[in-house]
Formats: sequence, structure tokens, C-alpha cells
Amino acid sequence: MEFLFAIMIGTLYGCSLYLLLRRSIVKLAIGLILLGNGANLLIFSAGGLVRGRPPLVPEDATSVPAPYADPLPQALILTAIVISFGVLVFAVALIYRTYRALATDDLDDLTATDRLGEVPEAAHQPVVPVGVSASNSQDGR
Amino acid sequence: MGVSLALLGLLAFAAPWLAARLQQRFGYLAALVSGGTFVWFALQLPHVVGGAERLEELPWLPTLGTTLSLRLDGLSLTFALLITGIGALVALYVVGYLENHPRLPRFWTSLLLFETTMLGLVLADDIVLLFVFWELTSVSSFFLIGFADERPRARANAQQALIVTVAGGLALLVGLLLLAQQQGSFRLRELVTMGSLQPPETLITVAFLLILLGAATKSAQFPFHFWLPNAMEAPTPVSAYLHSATMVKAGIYLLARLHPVLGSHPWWQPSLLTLGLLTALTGAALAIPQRDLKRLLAYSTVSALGTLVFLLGLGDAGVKPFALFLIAHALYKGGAFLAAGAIEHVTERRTLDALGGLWRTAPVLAGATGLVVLVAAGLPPTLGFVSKEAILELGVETLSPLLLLPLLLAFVGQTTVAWLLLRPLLARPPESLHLHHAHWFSLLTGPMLLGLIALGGGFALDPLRSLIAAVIASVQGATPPPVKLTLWHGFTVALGTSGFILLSAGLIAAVWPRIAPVGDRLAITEPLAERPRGLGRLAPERGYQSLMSMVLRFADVQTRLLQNGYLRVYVTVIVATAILLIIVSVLRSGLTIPAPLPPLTIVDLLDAVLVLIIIVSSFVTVRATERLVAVAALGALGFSLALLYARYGAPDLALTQVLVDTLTVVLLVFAFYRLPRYAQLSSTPARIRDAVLATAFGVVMGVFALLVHFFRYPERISSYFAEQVYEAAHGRNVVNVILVDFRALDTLGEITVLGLAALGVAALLAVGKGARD
Repeated sequence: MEFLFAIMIGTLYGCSLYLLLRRSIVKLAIGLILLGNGANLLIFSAGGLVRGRPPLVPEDATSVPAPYADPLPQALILTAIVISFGVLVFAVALIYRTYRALATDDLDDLTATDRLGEVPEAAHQPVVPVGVSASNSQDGR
Repeated sequence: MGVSLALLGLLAFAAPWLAARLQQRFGYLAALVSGGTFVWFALQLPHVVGGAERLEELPWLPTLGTTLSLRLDGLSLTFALLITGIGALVALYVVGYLENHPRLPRFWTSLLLFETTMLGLVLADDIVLLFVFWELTSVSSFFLIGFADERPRARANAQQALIVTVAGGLALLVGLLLLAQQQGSFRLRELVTMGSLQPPETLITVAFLLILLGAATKSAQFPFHFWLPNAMEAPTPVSAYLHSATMVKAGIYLLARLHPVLGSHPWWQPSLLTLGLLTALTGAALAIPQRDLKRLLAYSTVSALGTLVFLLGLGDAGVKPFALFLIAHALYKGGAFLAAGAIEHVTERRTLDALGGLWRTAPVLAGATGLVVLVAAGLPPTLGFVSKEAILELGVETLSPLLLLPLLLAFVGQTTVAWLLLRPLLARPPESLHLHHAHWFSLLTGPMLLGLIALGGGFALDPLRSLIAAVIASVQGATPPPVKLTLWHGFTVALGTSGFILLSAGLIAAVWPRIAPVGDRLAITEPLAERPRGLGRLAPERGYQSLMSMVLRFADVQTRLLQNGYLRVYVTVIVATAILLIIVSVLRSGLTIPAPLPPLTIVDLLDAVLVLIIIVSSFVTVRATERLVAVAALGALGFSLALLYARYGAPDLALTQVLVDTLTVVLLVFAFYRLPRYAQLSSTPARIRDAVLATAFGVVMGVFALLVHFFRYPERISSYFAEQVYEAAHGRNVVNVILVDFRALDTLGEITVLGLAALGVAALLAVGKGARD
């Protein structure tokens, strides 16, 4: 099973990186989700695979009978799942706004703010997005 | 000591409020506090002379062996007297000089901060403390030089002074730490009593060179002297205080302080003599043709600083003239700057050729200036005369002509500068020279008093003698024989030499109108231009210029390279670094795969199917051409993952994963309706390139995941949690208890992150709303 997990983790990481490297901004978001899942699985499998023994204290005992699945990675992953969901929601909202303001989903068009000595064009005159009325064009500020 | 430091520091930090409230009167308060400190230090004189050092100590970083320890001996007392005494006069001077200046509170903060840190620097007994104060004086000097921050040159020169002195400060830090480590103590007084190792270790030599570098940058020694004339962008009281009387002497203080440790190092004498003479000559030569009063005085300060280093290089014999010249120079150069500032303040002119006739139009000002000139020129019976005689006597009696001649030339240059100060008083008054109203009391007390002290110093040799003896005791690290100090030596060779210097300097000063144009042609009378001509092409400042432009070019190139705006480049760099780090750390960990592999979990058919679904769905999201297909594949992936979690003993994870995945799918379905299409934008070569990189990453991570199984660390925190969960936390679900009890603060952080993300989303969505209304 460990080998299968390793293949699965590698696949998730590889696919997520491929999506992160795409120019389409939506694929970036999907890539983020895959990356989160891959990382969670890596942590999970690092704790060791123990099938069907959750870390619970039975009614008639005061400690968890061995063997049991490692609770620590689980606690970490639980946090990570929730956080990566938060990140995803934020990313989607950001993508939505960017798209509305700049009318492009091509990351290669979104390089202006990082260029040396050039004032980003969008700071001067917001591009009117396709299919959005002119009154919306101040969104980008 | 600690109290005086704290008092001055407190005043510095209270200045923004107090100065705004008291306006001009704050200057009197600052002068009073500073003067009070001066009196306290003056009262310590008998104790210190009697050989009793004052020590004060507070623990600071005990684990690192550093303490807030202060020590008062002859050397630090002399400096403390100069710092607080001249500080009081300068504070008084500022009242008139920066009358009604709108940013006065800021000025006071910087100036008082400087006074505090400078005082701390000379009192510090711990070398770490000394370094901290050293750097703080550089920082406050930066703020003071750049005080007129609306002028680009003030900003540039402040930056230059900061970079030169702080770069030297870094060298100094390394040097001091090396020295402390070699000698095994961070306390100056212990280092001093230890003396030096014979023969010196290589590390001590390195430490000496680094410390010398730090001292040379701070005290404007050749070839770092250029920052000092440029620092004249500061208001004149600052030039008088920091850049002639006190701060620039910090390097010299340090060299004098470390003389007992490093003085016997074979490189000490040759390096200090060469450095000192070069600086003294450069300063003197560059001073004479200057037209600007402040640049004139700045170059002569450079020359004097060189002389002081030279005297330290002479070893024990040079200490007495060193101490005398240190005091005399601080008095007359501080006074000269203050007088020059007063002249500038009333005439609004600063160039020598545009001034004249002040003897008649402003007799009191002229009197104060003339008094300072007497001292600076070294005329009897002033302290200037006493110190110059001491130096010349030593020089004529013991020095070889090779050393004596440059020293005499430097003195001719410095004396010429003194004579040149008479030009504004005696030269024919140029037309249209109007005098403006000035706060005479504030402007003239400083130069008058400094001049009078230097004048009276020639007669009151007894307290001076004991102070000098105390300085010699600390610099030589031993009790000296009684100090011989007399005003009149009779007609000696030294006296003759002195007269010769005065005469030749007078001649040069008389023909100055012919010398200054030569300086103009050589381009040494103006600040170094962007494209230097004449001698400017050879100026050491060129090195600074090209270094700075190289730094800027490098920053430009590397920013273009790394911060190019393409997200995929950033991702590639990050991932490539991660891959490299993982490979390197696995290889370097020295772990080997155990010979019989640890038992593996047996493959279960259902699990295998789930893993297969996850793998297939990952590829589907990558290959999908429709957004909905990708979202559906993500859903399948997430739910299979949840099932896997459930089967491997993580019911909580399974629940959370199901919840979050449902939400994700719902969110994406709704959001994607408004999001751009699932486009294929990259070219085929780019896709192949990314696929290769992605495969490499996947393989590395897969292998890493596998290795983790083999190298598992036996001792786990989890067993503690599993044992304590019921006993300590009264829970039965270990994962839950970890989240809400053992690591509850982490969960609080998590909630905060989510809250912030929600706020961010709300803000992003609200931006559009407002515009639409």
C-alpha cells in the first residue's frame, strides 16, 4: 500500500505543478487544490499507514490501545484542509476581481506591477472588460 | 554615569513634545542638562586622577557574557568633558542658529540622541555595548547631515557618511569580537590589563586590521576622508559638534583605548604612522585652496585627525602631545566652526572671497573669531601653543626627517587655515555685504567661551596636567611619570620651528587669492561632480561612486531576473529549490534504508481502487478542456480521498474532507459561471517543458513519500497525546483533543486565518458593488 500511496502523492504533486505553471488563471486555482491534497496525503502517509484503528479511547479504557493511526498528522491535516479551503476561496475571489477589472485570464498579461521603472498601465486607465459596462470599469482600483 | 546617560537619552526622546511646547527655550534646557552633566564629570576629575576608576554595571545579556557596564577613567573622562561641555555650548548656539526653524523638535531629538550615544561610546566598558553606541552615533549623524532633506545633496551626503561609517562599523564589530574571543574577555578593562600576546596570533592581526578599518572610516582617515567635507551639508552646529569636536574622534578614541592591547603589535606603528601622515597631508593640501568656509575647516579637521592618529602611532612618547592636541583641537575647531556659522548666519555668505571688513562692522563677532584664530594658529599663551610645542618638541628631538617633514607640512596647512579665518575680518569689505539681525548671545557664547578656555588653559596648567596624566595612564596602561607641562620652554628648536610654521602659513594665507583659482582648475574646491574633471578624477570618492552605481546595477539586473512578473518563473524557482533541498538533505542525512524493509501494509483491493480513482481524476483535471469536467474530477478525487482517510483510521479527516469538498465543488460551480473559460494558452513546447518539470517534481515527491516510511523516527510525540488524552484532557478522541486542548492556540490561529480570508473575500467582492451603485 505504501508504494501505491507514494505513486498517488507523486501524481498529485506533479499534476498540481503542471497546473500551477499554466498561463490560465483558473487552472492556477485547480492546481492549488491538488497541491493541498497532495501535501495532506504526504503528511498523512508520513505518520504511517494503520488500517481501521482510529486514535479513539474505548469506553472501557483510559488510553488508546495500540496499534492506532497516528493522531498528530491527522490534527495537522485537519487544520490544513480548512486553511487551504480558505486560501482557495480567497484565490477564487481574487481571480474573479482580476478578471472583471483587467479582462484577461492570461497570467502572462499580469506582469505589469512587477516591472522595473514602469508604472502599471492599469493604475492609469482601467481596461474596460469584455461584456462589462463602462460604469464597472473602476472596479480595478 | 548611567544617570547622566539616562537623563540625556530621556531628554532626547522627550524633545518632540518638549521642544514643540517650549520652542526656543528648549535649547536652554538642553544646554542646562548637558552643562549639568559636564559639571558632574568635572567633579570626578580628582577621583580619576587619583587612580580610582568609576564602574557601573547592569546585567544585559548574561548568557552571552555582555553587560551594560560603564567605566570612567582618564581617557573617557576627557572625552566625556568635551562631549558634554561642547554639547552644552552647541545647544545654546542652536537657539540662535536655528531660530524659528519649523522642524526644530526633530533636530533636537537627533542631536541629543547623538550626545547620549557618543557619551555612551566613550564610557562603555563592554565591547558589544561600545559597538552599539558606535553605530548609533553613525545613525544620528545620518539624520543630522540629512536634516535639510529637501536638498538632494544633503540626502546623498548623509547616505554617503552612513554607508562609509557603517561599513567600517561592521569591520569593527568582527575585529572586536575576534579580539575578545582571542583574549577571552568582552570587558575593555580586562582586555587592557591583559596586554597583548607575544608574538601575536594571525587572528589578532586580522582583528587589528579590521578595527583599524573601522576607526579609519569613522575618523575620516585617507582614503575614507571624503565623507567628512561632504558632511558639511549639516547645519553648522552639527558640523562643529559631530564633525570636528566629537564624533569623528570616536575612531581615535578607540585606537587610544586599545593601545595597551594592540600597541605592541608589529603592524601598529607602521600602519598608524603611514595612515596618519597621509591623512594629515591630504587634508592640509586640500584645505588651503577651499573657498567655502566650512569645507576649509572640514579639510583642516581631516588633517588634524590624521595628526592625532600619527601621534598614537608613535607609541608611548606620543601620548602626551596626543592628549594635549586632542583637547586643544576640540576647543579651537569647535569654536572655529561656531564662529564660521555665526558669520554665515549674519551675512548669509560662506565663501571666503565674498566676506570682509567684519572687524569694523561686527566687532564682537570678529573678536570671538580672532580669539579662536589665536588658539588655532597656536600662538602663545594659548592651549594651542602648548599642544603644538609638545608635538614639535617630540618631533624635532626624536623623529627622522622622513616623518618630521610631512608633519611640519601638515602643520603649515592647518595653520594656514587658521590665518585664512582672519580674511572675513580683515579683508576689504566687498560691496553689498549686509549684516542681518542675529541672536548674538546664543551665537557668540560658544566660540567666545571655547576660545577663552583655550586661552586660559595656557595659564591654568595644573588641572590640565592631572587630566593629561590620567589620559596617559589609560592609554599606556600604566602609571606614567609626572607630566612635564610648561607654557614657556625658552628659545628652543621647537619654538623656532613653530615660528617658521606661523610665518610660512601667513605667507600662504596672504597669497591665497592666487591659490584658490588653482584649486578651482584642479576641481578640488567643489563637491565631486557626477563626471569629475581635474584632480577629481583621482579622488578616492570615485571608488565610492562606482561602488554605489555597481550596487544599483546589480540590484537592477537581479530584480529583472528574479522579479520578472511571470508567476510560472517564480513557481519554477521555488519548486526547483525545493527539489534540490530535498535531494541534498536526504543525501546528507546519512540515513540508510534498513536491510530488511520494515513491514509494509498489505494492498487492499478497495483501497487500490480508491487510489486509482484519485490518480485518474488528477490527470482528468489536467487534461480537461471544460471547466465542469475539471470540477467533477476534483469532486471525485476529494470524495475518494475522504474514503481513504476513513479507512486508515482518520474519521475526523474523512468528515472534514467531505464537508470541504462539497463546499469546494459548490463554490467552483457557482464561481466558474462568472470566471474565464478553461483556456489552453501555452504553446506546445512550453507544455512539454512544464510536463517534464512536473514529472520530475512528482517523482521526487513520490520517492520522498516512500523514503519517509523507511526512515520513520521511532520516538513520537503522538504516544504522549494518546496516553494523556483521557487522563489529562478528559477526551476520548485524540485528534479532537489535540485541536481544542493540547494545541488550542494553533486552532485559534487557524480561525484567525479563516476570518481574515473571509474579510478579504468580502472586501474583494464589495469593491465592485460600490462602483456599480
